[in-house]
Amino acid sequence: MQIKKLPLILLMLWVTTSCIDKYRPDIDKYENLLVVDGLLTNNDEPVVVKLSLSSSLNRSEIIPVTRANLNLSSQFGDSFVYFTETTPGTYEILDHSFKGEIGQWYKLDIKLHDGRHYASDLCQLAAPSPIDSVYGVNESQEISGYNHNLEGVQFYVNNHSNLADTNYYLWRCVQTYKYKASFSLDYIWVGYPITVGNPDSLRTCWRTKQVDEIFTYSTKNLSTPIITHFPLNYASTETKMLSIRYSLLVNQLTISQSAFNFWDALRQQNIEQASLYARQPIQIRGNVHNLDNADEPVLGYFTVAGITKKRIFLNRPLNLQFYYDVCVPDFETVTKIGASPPIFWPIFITDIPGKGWAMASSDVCFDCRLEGGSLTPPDFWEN
Amino acid sequence: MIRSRLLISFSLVWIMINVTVIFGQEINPTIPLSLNKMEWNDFKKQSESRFDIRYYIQNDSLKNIQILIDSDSMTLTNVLKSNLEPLGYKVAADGDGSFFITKRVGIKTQLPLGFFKQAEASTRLKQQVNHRNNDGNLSTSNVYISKTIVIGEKRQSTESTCSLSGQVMGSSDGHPIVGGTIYIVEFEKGTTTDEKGNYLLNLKPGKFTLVFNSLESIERTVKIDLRSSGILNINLDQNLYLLQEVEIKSSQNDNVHGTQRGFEKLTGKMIKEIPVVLGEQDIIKVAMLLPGVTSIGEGAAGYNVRGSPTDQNLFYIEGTPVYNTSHLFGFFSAFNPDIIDNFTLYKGSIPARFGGRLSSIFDVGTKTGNMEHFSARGGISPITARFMIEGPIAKKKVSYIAGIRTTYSNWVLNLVKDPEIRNSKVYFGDAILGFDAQIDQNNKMKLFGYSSEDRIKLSNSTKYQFKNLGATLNWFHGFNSKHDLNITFIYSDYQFTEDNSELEIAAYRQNYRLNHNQVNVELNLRPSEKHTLTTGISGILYLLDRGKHLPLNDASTEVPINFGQEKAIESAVFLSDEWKISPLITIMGGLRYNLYSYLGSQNVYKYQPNSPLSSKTITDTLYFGNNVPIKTYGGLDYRLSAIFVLNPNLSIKGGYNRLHQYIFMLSNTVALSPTDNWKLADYNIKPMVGDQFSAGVYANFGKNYEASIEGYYKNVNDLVEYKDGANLVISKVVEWDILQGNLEAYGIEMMIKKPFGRLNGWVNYSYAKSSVLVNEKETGESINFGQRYPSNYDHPHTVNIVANFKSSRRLILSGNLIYSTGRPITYPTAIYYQDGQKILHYSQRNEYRIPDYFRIDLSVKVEGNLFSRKLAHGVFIFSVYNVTGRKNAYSVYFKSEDGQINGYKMSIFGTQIFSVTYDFKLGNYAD
Repeated sequence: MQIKKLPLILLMLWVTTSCIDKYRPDIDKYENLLVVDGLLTNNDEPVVVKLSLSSSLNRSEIIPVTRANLNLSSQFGDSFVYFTETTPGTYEILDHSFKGEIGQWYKLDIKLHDGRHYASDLCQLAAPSPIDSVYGVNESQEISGYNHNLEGVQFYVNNHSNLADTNYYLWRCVQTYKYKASFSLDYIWVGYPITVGNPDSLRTCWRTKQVDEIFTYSTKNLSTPIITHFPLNYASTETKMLSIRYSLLVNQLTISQSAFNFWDALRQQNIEQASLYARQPIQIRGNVHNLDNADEPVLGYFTVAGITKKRIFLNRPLNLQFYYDVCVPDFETVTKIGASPPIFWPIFITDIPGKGWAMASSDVCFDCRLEGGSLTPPDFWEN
Repeated sequence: MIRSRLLISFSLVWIMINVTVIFGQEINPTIPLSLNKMEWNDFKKQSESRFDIRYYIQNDSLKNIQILIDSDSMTLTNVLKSNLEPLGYKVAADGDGSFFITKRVGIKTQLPLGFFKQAEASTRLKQQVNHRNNDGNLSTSNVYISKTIVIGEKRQSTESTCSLSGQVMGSSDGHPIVGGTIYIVEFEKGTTTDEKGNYLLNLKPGKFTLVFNSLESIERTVKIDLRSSGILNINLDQNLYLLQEVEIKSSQNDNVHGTQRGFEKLTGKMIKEIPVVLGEQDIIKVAMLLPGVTSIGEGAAGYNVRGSPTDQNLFYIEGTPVYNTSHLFGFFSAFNPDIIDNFTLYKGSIPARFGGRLSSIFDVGTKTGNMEHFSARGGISPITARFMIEGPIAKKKVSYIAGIRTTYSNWVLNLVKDPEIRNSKVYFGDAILGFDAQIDQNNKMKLFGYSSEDRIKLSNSTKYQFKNLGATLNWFHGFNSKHDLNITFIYSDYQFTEDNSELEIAAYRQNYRLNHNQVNVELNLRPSEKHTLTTGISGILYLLDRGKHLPLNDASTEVPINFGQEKAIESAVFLSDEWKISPLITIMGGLRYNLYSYLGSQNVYKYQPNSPLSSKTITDTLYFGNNVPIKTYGGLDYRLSAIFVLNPNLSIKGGYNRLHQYIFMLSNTVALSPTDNWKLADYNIKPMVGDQFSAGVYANFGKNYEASIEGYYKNVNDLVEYKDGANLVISKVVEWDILQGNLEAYGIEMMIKKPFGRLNGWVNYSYAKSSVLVNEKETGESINFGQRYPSNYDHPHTVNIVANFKSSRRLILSGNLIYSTGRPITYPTAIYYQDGQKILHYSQRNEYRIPDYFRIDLSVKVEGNLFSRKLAHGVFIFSVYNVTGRKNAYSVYFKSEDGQINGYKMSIFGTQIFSVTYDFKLGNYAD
């Protein structure tokens, strides 16, 4: 992985231009394939399977596959549990008391509306392993194209397993953070100023965002099944994520070897292509097959896993430089606000103590919801 | 070019006329005192350059004689006479600028008891200055026929045919001239010298005009009076460093008459003039300008010949196989360019004395140390510094040559802000040491050693160390100039270590070592002019340590893995004959029988028949004790080629080859990765077999042009390919991760070459296809779902243009242009979602191509001043790599980042790269 820096090392001697450019070749071919995305764990969250079709590279979208019949059977095909389509393409086991049992084998069966019949391989639900800790460390990184170091927090996980057997892990991380809009909203100009009752009502938000990265590791080559200091996601100060308070939820999935092979291949394929010595990208097929036509590529995976969760909170780290965008108050234009034509109304105005009224270039500076968050903290939020 | 030659000719005619008209106006210049106390060579060059004179020296043993000039009014004749006559030389002048210096004593030869003896006959000087060629045209000019050499004794001439043999050598260094031509003007036929510089002609007694020539020499015409069988050894002056601008008539016979197809030879001079990246002269990069030689991309190790993977090339430096030919993971080749004399790339018909690789033999010849005097040369470029010395240990008997090269660029990395780069360290170096001993006329010994090393630290997390070590001891014994015996002992060792601490708990060290020990005995027999037989045996012992994977430190809990050791013997016996059936037809045939034994001690697995090889299908584990043959493979190689000369300027050649290969490279990446390593064929992995058919038409046209068109079809069975997604770093049992398939390649190569002249170079175009099919019917396993796919190194169209223009003696402009179709690549064809993340779905293997490759490089070589009396001579080479700055794609890839799919194009040298190299050597320009 490190080797991708090599041409840079060489080029540093002569030039400083980056040798990696954005590029989009013309790929006209497009394959419309069935995609399965499902997760069954031993906890009591609803079991959901999503069916969709793959979309073209130029227009990525989820094309739901509706009106399918899905059921889940255990090892000997005896106890069937049925799924119900709750929203188009999303199928759920409505009996929320149902959950996977550790050590049990499961198989997903899919009948499409057009009659095509698919089934997953039998998958065993592996025993979950405890997470010992999740923690963040301040780390800075050089990124070409920036005039400063990238600063932020690198998160790590430590765990252990009580089983001597190899453990295959897949980590899925979800981050939630509290942030503020730049200015309080004191007045709204609609030809005349309206005083806002609570100037901070649109100022503080919480946003939950999945970490778009796959983390996998196995203890296959470790003499003791203990994973320490394994790097997960990196939250930088280029955004507001760390600006007030940040929370990371780590879902640690213990999966089968074949599920690991799938997820690890996806992960490697994504990161390794940038290397000088990349492996050939390959068509990665999942564990669901067309029962009548084994050659039909079916994408995605029905993952059966033992799960452990761990949530941590982190206040704004000291000793870090923050580089996220901030709004600049405009004291100039606001003086001519009386002459503004109605199409610009409503104009948001803040009142900065000691300096007076100011406008800003965008409503984002007043309304934190425009950055994707919500005004109410999630249930799990601890201040 | 033609115009300038005409000009010379006309001026010569004019001089002739002047000489005849103004009779008595004898050219005999007065020599200034500034030439006093010069050594002969300098004196000769200086006086030749100042005055319109030429020297003809029968046997140049004057080198170290100091020329003394007593007064400023001495004529050249007087100077020569006063200096040389006391030493036993005779000086004569023809009055129009030719000075003839001969030893007083003439030697005549006889044939006592049927043995040949050296003939160094000198009798009369036949002055034929400004001789016109027999064909009567004005084209030749500076070719002077000055004497007739009498060979043999008339009264002994009972033979109806006499054999004339001898050795052709370079006059400055005494090296044999390989592939030199000997042309008999009277018969319009000729022959070529073999790899020892020997030639053999069968002629009726009589008077002949022989023209000796080679690529790197000045043509020399010799008149002989052949009275009985005898020997004629000829020294040819090299045309590399000529003070006089001499029009050279090319050896018109090479391209058309040589029996080799798919054979490329380049000399050091050519190698040095081609522009290079970062100022590093690089023979492998030069080879890639030849038709049929490509690579995956800039910075990728190895090269692909005619659609074959890199591991099907065997690379020799002075007979020593080199298993890792590059520095810095492939950016530079691991050879000091100062040491390299020439290289030969066999890609079509591979002689039977070579074997073990299916696609090509890359044979690098190094310089022999100077037997006469000490010399040194070196150079610095932005990346490396190199230095070479050579000289005699015992004059004319034993010489040495030694060269080193090392990099010093770490200081630049330290200046970079990026901590990952700042904390990286790069070191590489290589060294060569050679001893040559000319024991007597018939015995030569050569000891050669090679070593290269890389130590690379990337950031703080990965360290690599690569080492090559090789040595060759060669004994050459000539029975007479007809037959010879070559015995060679070869040792080669390649090893690497990787320390990886990217993840603390899994920090590891992995090592690897390959040891190659070989003995070769080769006998060359020339029973008659028509046959050249080569026979011999070869044995290689491979000792291979696949290495250990060990935790790097206490914090690491990585499980130690021992990949184990391997041992095998590859032996071969070969016989080949080059049979000149008639002057127009030559056939070369050869057989090589290979016997390969994979030896214990080893545990090997047996598997259920017709099922995939995996841990689940093992039926038995067999243990074999030390040196017990586990599996033996025998294979017969065939070599057959023929040449039909349609007319002196046109020939047709064709041939068929079969080869076997018992060692292959384990690689699952597109370009060779640093930790890819060699593996032996074993109990479960079969050796590869390759067949190649090729045929072509070769023509010479104009005065200086050679053209060829050659097509080939190649088929390789049991090619080793990796299953999709296999991880070889951790894979202990190789057969679980590989499949064996078929490689098919075919193509057509066209080349036009102008080897000589002020403007020289070549243009070539190749059309080539290469594809792989892996579909094991018995086990049901396949790659790419059993469909044939283009190989990673499939470049259908390739164009190379190389041009050198000698603007003046001190200024050479060079340029090259490279175009090739982009290599195949697998692109995504759809997007899908998993757990809210975008995932790419890829096409079948290598369905697409990266953008085409195009590059132009230019360089200017500026020679230092031409003063002859100076300590050292310097050369500056300014070069620009990738003049157009095109960002040639090395790879195109897609990444999912923060929920976005982004496409990227990675270029290695995506901009102009300027560099300056300074080369120096002891002595003047011409030395």
